Amino acid sequence: MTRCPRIRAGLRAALACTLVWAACAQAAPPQWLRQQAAIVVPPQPDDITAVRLLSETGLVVAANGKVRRKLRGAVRILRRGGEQYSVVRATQDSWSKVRQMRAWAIPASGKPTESGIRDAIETSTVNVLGGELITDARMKVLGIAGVTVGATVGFEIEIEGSALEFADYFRFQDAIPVMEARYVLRLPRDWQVTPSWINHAAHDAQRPAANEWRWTLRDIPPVPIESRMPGWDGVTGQLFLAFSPPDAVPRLSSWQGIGNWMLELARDRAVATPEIRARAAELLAGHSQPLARIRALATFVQQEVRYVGIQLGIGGFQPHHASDVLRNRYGDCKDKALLLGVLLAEAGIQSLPVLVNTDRTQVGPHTPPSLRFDHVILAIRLPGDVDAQELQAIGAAPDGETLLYFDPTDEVTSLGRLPGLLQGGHGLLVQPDDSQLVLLPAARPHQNGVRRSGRFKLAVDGVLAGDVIEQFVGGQGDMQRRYLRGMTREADLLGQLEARLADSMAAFRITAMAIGNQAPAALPLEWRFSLTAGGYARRAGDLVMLRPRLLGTKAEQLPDEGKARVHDVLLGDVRTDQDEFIIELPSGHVPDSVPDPVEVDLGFAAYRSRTEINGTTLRYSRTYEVREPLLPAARLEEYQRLHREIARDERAVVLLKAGG
Amino acid sequence: MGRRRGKYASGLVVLSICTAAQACLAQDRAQQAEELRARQLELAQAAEARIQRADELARENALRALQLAEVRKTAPLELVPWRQVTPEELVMTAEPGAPGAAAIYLYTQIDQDQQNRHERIYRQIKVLSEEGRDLANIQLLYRDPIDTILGIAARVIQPDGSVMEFQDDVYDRPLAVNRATGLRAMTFTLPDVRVGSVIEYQYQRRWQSTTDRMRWVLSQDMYTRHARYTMRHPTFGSLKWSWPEQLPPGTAQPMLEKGVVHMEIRDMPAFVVEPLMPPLDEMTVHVEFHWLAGTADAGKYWRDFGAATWKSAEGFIGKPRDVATALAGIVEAGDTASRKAMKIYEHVRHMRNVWTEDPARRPDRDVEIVRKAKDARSVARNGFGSGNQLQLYFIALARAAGLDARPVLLASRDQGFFDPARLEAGRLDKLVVALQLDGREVLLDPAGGDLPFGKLFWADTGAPGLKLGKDGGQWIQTPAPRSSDAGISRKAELNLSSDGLLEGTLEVRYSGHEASWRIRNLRYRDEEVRRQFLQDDVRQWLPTRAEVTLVREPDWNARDGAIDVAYRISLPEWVVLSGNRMLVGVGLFGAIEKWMFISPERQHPIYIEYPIRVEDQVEITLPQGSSVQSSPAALPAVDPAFAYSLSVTPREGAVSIRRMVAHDLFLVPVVHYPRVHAFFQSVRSGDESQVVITR
Repeated sequence: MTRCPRIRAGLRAALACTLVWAACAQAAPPQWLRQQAAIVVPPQPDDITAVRLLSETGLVVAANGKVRRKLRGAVRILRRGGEQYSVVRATQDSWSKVRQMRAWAIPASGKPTESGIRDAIETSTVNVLGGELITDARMKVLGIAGVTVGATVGFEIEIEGSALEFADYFRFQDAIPVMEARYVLRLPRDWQVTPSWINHAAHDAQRPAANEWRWTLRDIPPVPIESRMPGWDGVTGQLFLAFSPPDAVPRLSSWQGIGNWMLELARDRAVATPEIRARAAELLAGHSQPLARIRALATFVQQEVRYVGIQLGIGGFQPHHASDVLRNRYGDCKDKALLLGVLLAEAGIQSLPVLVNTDRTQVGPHTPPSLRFDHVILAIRLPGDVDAQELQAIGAAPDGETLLYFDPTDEVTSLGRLPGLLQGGHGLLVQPDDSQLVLLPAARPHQNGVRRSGRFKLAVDGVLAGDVIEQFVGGQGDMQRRYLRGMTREADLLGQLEARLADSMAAFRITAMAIGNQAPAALPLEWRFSLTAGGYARRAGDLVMLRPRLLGTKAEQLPDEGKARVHDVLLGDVRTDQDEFIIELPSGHVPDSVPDPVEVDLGFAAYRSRTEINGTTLRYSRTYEVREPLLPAARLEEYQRLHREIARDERAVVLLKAGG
Repeated sequence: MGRRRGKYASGLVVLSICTAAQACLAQDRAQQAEELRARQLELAQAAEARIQRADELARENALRALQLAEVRKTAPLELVPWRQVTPEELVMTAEPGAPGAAAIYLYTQIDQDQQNRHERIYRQIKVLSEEGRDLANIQLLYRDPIDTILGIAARVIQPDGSVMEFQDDVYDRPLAVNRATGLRAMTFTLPDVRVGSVIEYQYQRRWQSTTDRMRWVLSQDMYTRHARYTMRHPTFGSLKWSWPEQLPPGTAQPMLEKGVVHMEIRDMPAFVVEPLMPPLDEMTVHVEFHWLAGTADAGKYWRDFGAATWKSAEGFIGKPRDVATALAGIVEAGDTASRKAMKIYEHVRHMRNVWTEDPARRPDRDVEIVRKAKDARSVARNGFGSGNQLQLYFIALARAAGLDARPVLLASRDQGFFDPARLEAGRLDKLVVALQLDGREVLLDPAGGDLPFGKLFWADTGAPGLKLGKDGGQWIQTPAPRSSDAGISRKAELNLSSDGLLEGTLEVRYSGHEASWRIRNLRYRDEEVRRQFLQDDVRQWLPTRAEVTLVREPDWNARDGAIDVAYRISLPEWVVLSGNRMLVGVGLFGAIEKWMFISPERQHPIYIEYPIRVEDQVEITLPQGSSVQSSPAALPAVDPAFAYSLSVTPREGAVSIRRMVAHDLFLVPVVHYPRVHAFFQSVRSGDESQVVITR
């Protein structure tokens, strides 16, 4: 789809390594900035390193669709670390160009300095995760030298271009306090604007002129950065503005309009050429059952077509011709979805593209229609005779038919499942004149998780030896597969297992190891290994101490625990993990004390464990279930209590009285 | 002629050697290096200095661009003939020499021409897994306008032998471009790449101006079946070239014939990065080329450098009478030599080293004064100086007091390892003082400020240096770091409650290297940053959930080689309740050792910046009515190189745990790895021991 989700991260990563502070000449800052520099900032908490004094966007839209954007802002550096806010960034692409960038630093004492657009560094993104992305999106970055505590930094940016959609976002909230945020909009005569407020209470606009709107917000609190918090756009205040000319509804101002536009862009690209027909026939040969036919085509596009995004100009939205994608064996998400759609059509199976955002908080019934998508998947209409019971990613189409959602870009999530990031989010189901938001299916806890079982024998000298089978089910299996794809040496696999075991055992030796079902499949990914752990059981007088939870750590601690929590906590994919360890004890060892069973059920998650000894057989079993992907911040204490219980259980010890 | 390099050159070779022009340059470099050290603390100012050069660079680059435009007009070289892929290579699915590999290099050919300033690079890659297909995305970096890339050609060969020539676009993308820097990438992606495909591509790189160093890196990120390298030697300058002592088995040494150095390798394993290994430059197998305008005779190079730097240093130190007045205020007539030395050391190390001060707070005027200081007399007058100025001032005072002191230029280890044979005078970036005292030589760093007499910063230990003299000087090696030079001592006094909560105070003493790097990194940071850092320091030692609160910051101006920090800690989950017993693990601070050298296999030597000794003393007051039922037997230290001891002493209503981990690991050949692995296994095993308390 448009701007791949990975692009922004890529730009930032490229810049992190390369930013050179700009040359500065002494110059007189503009009057508005000098006024900002005179502002007295109220006392701030110790962890606030800077304050945004002003954040202003001015947007002028011409009747021909040309847009001029002027940005200006000022930041006061309060403490060390606040210097990062002195870096000025501006992006441009096929539709817009940065015309001017100027920045000034006014130190607490001394002479002001100025930097200009010629000092800025221009960069594009490279080496995005999982593939290559070639794009005309560029970022200009201007660093201002010599910024020290007490300085006021200001900037002005001008960007010109044409509007792809008659809409704009004003992201006015930051990780630091914003003393004043202002958005000024000037439209052609008789145009209208519809504001929508996201994550913030609505504010009325001032109307300095008939075709001008001005929104001003003051003293906007900072949004703290917390571990496991939802996506930034999901928690920060934003103003979305949709403009419309008189007596005309902009094409991209409704879900339906966006869907039609996407279909229009793809229309002449979704053509089955003789090569595509031949390929489809080849792939379908020998498959008569509908699901097997779907699987054959889906697996081909998922596995044999590499992810390479070449997104120049409208290419950010328009897929390449399906025949080109097939010939090149590469494409981006919309290319892969398009090719699969064409191949499925050859098999007589209908499918629809679905626009999604990989941050599930970004698009939903609460957000106004906009091009706020970064990915495309496919909804496949399942023929009536398909048994959908084994398929997780199933939803109902608006017309009542059954849809199977599939992401052909994700190379490890097999047909029948959706990547965890997309589950439970909203997508735009694209169909002629009837595109609409749909809720994407989410897996249930029992469909995900790690099932671990081990059989061990404990020797009199405390040496523990045995075999373990770990099954990574559903999304957990996909995560393992993704991780293992990065392992390009057998020794790396062993190292990965050693690191996992070291978390639970002090001294051990792996004597055998094998991995099964590593290719994407409905079957769980399986690790099988054997190990010997010397001195696992300890003798203390006539007692022998043995921790029955042999492997696996589930107790977690948020790194920022102890601070008051603001955001909800992402708990990850719902899942059920189960461990069972059976240990054959040396004869003559009798239990002195056995850990009490643990049973905690807090609704959003539950944990149960039990240790039993029957004769010389010790059995430890536990189940950890996460039922909700998101935990309200108000319930954080419950989460902490749960994990304290888990940690206690994981450290609990069986005491045996040694015979003889 | 080329030479074979010793393993871990690291300046262990002692040579004495050196040109006057280079000497001046080296003196400047030494000064620059000192500034480099202070960069963390004066980032903004250093950036400003670079920026002042931006216009100049932009002008230079404009000129280069014009010159390079001419280069670009030149037709690319002819393509290297595509190498015939063998039938076995077409159908192979794995490489026995690289089990599990995603791809391998079937063939690499690099032909460099230093005379005409261009190279042709050709790579042929076999894709063995899905992951390997990403190698079809090719990105060729270049620095516009310093060099350029021409003549890109590529193709894909399928397992059935069919060939698809690359005919799509090559994208030229900015990675970081402004008027002074121009890092760009030529990017393209090959079509129809599948598991089993052979990818091959070649391109030509041309550069505008001559370079004095080049290298062939034979260790690649993937297994290489066959590679050929050639280097056309220019007609100017004298060539020094070297190759590693251990080439892949069966590989002939590189040869120089008719002005071309050439070499072939076969079956080169992929390079593997491991934690705590020597710098990559030391571990990768590479052939180095160095062209010198002057002599390639290392002896003469260093002799000339040493003599010129000596002259420059002596000019700054001046005559004893220059600092006589200052000296009179420091020492007394009856002082012994060592007392004088100590007094002068204390005096100088309490002087302000302006380069290491907080740039946000130090007066700009002082920076200017330091830049203008010409001799020891000015330092005495100013009362402050740069690091180098203070070292030389110390020498001036010492000599005035009748002591024998000489400047030593060291190659600090934090910049990598040093090999005098590489003729890189700029790598001698740290000035210290060699003082003859009571018949022995003591190395001193008075400008360091936080180091006690006779101690060096960790990066300056085990490092080669040139003790300057009129005749160029002699190479020396500073003493290797020992575990006694760096310590962490933790003393916890904890109360155990009947519900298993362990809480109390923790006092930590960092000494030696452990103290000095913390002082230098944290001294000028904000209080909040320091607090977080120190608390995280403790959290990383604890293998369990813990609340850690800093109670007392250290004295960041401490100069006795140690700093003390106090915390309150609370450990709700460390103690295990089992029936009427409580189990207390003895490895309360063992989280670091828990993860060290867990794998029984190792490919590279171990390199640890400095050895360390860690001592723990944990006093636990038991709940009323509780007593120790059993405690682990004492584990005495048995190996002087790796020492781990543990003792648990029950007392009335309390238990005392003492634990010590010390090792003298610094640079350990891989042959000794099993011993290291076994040692850390024994530490982990000992740390798992429990004290059993009955309630």
